[in-house]
Amino acid sequence: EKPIQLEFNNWLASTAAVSVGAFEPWKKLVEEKTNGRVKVNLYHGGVLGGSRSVLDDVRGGVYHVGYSIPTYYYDTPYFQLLVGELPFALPGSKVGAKVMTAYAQKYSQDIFDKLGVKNMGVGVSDPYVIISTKPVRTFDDMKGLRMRAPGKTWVPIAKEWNAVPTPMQPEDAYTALDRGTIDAMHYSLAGALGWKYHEVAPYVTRLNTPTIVVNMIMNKDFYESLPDDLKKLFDEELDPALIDLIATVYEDGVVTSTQKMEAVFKSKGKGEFITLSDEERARFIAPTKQAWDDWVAEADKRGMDGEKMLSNFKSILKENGVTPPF
Amino acid sequence: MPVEVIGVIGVVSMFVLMFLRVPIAIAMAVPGIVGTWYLRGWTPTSTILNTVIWNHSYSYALTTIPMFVLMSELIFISGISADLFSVFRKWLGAIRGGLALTTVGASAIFAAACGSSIASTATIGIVASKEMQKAGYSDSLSSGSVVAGGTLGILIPPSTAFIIYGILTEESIGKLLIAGILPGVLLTLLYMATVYCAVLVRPSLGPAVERSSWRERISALRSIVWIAVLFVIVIGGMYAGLLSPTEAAGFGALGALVIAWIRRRMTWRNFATSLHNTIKITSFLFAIMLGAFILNYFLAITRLPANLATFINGLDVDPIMILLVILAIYVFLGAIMDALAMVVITIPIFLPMLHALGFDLIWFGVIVVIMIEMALISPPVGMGCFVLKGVNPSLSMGSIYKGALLFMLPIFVLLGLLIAFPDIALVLPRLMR
Amino acid sequence: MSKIRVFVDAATAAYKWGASIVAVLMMLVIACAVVARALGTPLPADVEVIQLTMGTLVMLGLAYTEQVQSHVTVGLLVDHMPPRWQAALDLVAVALICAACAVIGWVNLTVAVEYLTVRPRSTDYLSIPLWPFKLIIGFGFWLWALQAVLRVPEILRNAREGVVSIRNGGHA
Ligand code: NA
Ligand code: NA
Repeated sequence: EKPIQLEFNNWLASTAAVSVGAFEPWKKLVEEKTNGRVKVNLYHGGVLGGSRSVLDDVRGGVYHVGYSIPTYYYDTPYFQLLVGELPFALPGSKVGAKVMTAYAQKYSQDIFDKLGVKNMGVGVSDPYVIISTKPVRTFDDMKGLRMRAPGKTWVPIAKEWNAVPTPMQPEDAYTALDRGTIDAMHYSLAGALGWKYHEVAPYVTRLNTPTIVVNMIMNKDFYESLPDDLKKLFDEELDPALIDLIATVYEDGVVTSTQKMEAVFKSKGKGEFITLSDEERARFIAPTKQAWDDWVAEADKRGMDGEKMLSNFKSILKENGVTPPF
Repeated sequence: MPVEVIGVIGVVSMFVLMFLRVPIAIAMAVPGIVGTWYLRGWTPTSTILNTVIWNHSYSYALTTIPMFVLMSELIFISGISADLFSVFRKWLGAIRGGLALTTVGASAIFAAACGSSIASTATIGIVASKEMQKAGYSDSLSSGSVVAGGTLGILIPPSTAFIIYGILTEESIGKLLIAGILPGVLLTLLYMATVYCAVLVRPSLGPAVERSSWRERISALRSIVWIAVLFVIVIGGMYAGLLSPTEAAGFGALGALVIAWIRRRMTWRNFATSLHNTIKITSFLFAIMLGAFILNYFLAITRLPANLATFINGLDVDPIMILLVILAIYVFLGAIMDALAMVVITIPIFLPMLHALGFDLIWFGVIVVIMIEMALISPPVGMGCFVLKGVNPSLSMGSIYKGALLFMLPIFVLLGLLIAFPDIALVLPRLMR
Repeated sequence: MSKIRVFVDAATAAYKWGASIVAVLMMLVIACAVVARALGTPLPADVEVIQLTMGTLVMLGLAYTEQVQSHVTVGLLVDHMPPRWQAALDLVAVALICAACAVIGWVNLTVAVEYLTVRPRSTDYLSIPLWPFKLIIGFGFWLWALQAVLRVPEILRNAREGVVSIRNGGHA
């Protein structure tokens, strides 16, 4: 019998932490657990499609499994999952994946029917940092800093932090930091390592909060075409394993990224990691309350019940031992 | 039928269609669409035609192309570039091939500011190509110097190609960019040597013009003060970090417009012509890119490039032989597909092997970028050649290809030098430590 | 045919002038963004607007590019063939342009309808709806095909009279 070919497109580099630590091991796991009945063809570097069209591409069967970023689909039912992007809601990647997968299962299963894909699990990125050309030790150091903020939610927050939010493409940012067009990026630690921002912006201030919701999705027709026992295997074992691998990579990535960057800082004799005092951290958190209120208002505007969704989210946070900041 | 065979059929059909004078964009899109449809069915095909077209045309980074083209068109149509070249003629015209040498030199200077070879080729092509024709240069020598000069855009920093390689391999982008400097200067000199040898063998390729007096030379300089100011703004702005490439391009276009207007060289009619030429060039260029991306998806799912790379992985020979086979594969793939796509597909497969064999990956980055340069000009799928044809339609594709083939020689020479003396690439990055 | 020609040429001209305006707009938005940033108040959505102008510029220009015969071709072999052969191959090219553009145009028009009705999409910051852009893509490719069709009478005339087409190959 010919094996089923599963096409898995990864828009990250083959050397990215998630590619090495989650996608490659998952490919092995699938082939092992299905006794070779499913063969995973893993493409790195976005060979089959870019990061911004994963939902469309998976729905349309351009490939079968993809790593989707819901915030690129802000204007679709995906909006519901963006509750996980509320500033400082989640303290880490592992607990974040737990919270978001539970939230999606309990309250958002219907959105995947609307989106036309099969949900394999929801997670969150690794914690974001402020990576800058001059040290940010206190809230006051943010004043006048030209900073690229991640997405729509964080631009008004950057203003509240007294920074100057400056639009910048990730691929332009290395040169921009090097030549002083911008002073800082608000970016994920592993992402910053991948783009090598630390080479030109050697100060890293930890905010300790994941910022982006991520979602593994599968083409529906592909899933439906699987024999029942394989469906069950994906549902019960392989899908959760994938999200778990990703969360672990992100959690461990903080440590390894820190080590790699510190080695560079040491060899250059310049650069450091900065941990904020509780007092200073609170000053960063306080102005983000507005973003929580805005999200509820936005949900209402989109015909959803924002308050209800938020209280559902908070209840799941509490079930997982997380105290929301607001 | 195995998918690989279908992939080969797709590539062959592309070749056939291209040589049957079907527009290149269509010659690539048709096998891509038909092949994907055959292998995957209608829904994935239609999705590709939606998302690929959107992702690769509604893009911020690519706006450098129309803006630099507009800038160059404004400079050309307003006659400013003619002034510029009359200065070059007065100063260097007495030297055989002087204008082609100038073109290569100007490309190197532009490359030091702009990280894209396409934008570089378009800019220099519009300004220089027709002026060399006017001066009686052969089409192939003038074309060769333009497309070759354009390739320097990605070897001399800044460079989008090095940034992509750095991300694909997690090597230091800073070191990679520095590593490109010496090979970039060396390649510039090799290109100049190629021009020199060509006119030495056949002087009619780049005839010398009458020698000008020093008074004429100096008074001619006055007419190019403005354009010098514009270049200082564009190139200096990028260096000082005030402008990203996109912004420099947009600013440069606006600056060219203002200068042409102040110098009373800009009529509404001229302005409209510049805009229409810009639209024309941008559209055919993007049509080709979209065709290439549609074809690339099809090639990727046939696993043709990946299998080729895996095949090398299995070879049991000398490391240097493996390197040569890899280079041969890049020469082959570079002739038939988009240069960057070629690298994105093959690097994840080649890299672990090269690493295991003990090759320096910064050095290999320089090699890869040089292979991309070759792919940009190697016939038949050579984006640099298409760009030049688009900006100067009076050139025949045949003479562009002929010129491009000539300038592939210095690229091979540079590759040989880099393999023999890896320090050419590595001495500067080593100083960084 | 002449009525179709009038319509197609008018539509192409409209697209061309639209593209000209978009190019100027792109230049001005970029310049404004630089000035605004220099003054310490960066525009938050300039990237978004510039992205939209980029694609629009391309799509509005496809048909005009065909009209002035500027989609690049390789005439290396065909240029040296007898006129009738050249005409026959030109017809093949027109047919392929039509086929490819019809399919691509159709796909993007259906997406436009989808975005307008069941699955609305818009940009992040300014919430600009995306369906008009999909319409522009769809009609842009169809107009390209129509411009190619307009060349058929000329190709047939060339074949009859044994005249070499000026299409591409560098004779223009
Ligand atoms: Na460059
Ligand atoms: Na090539």
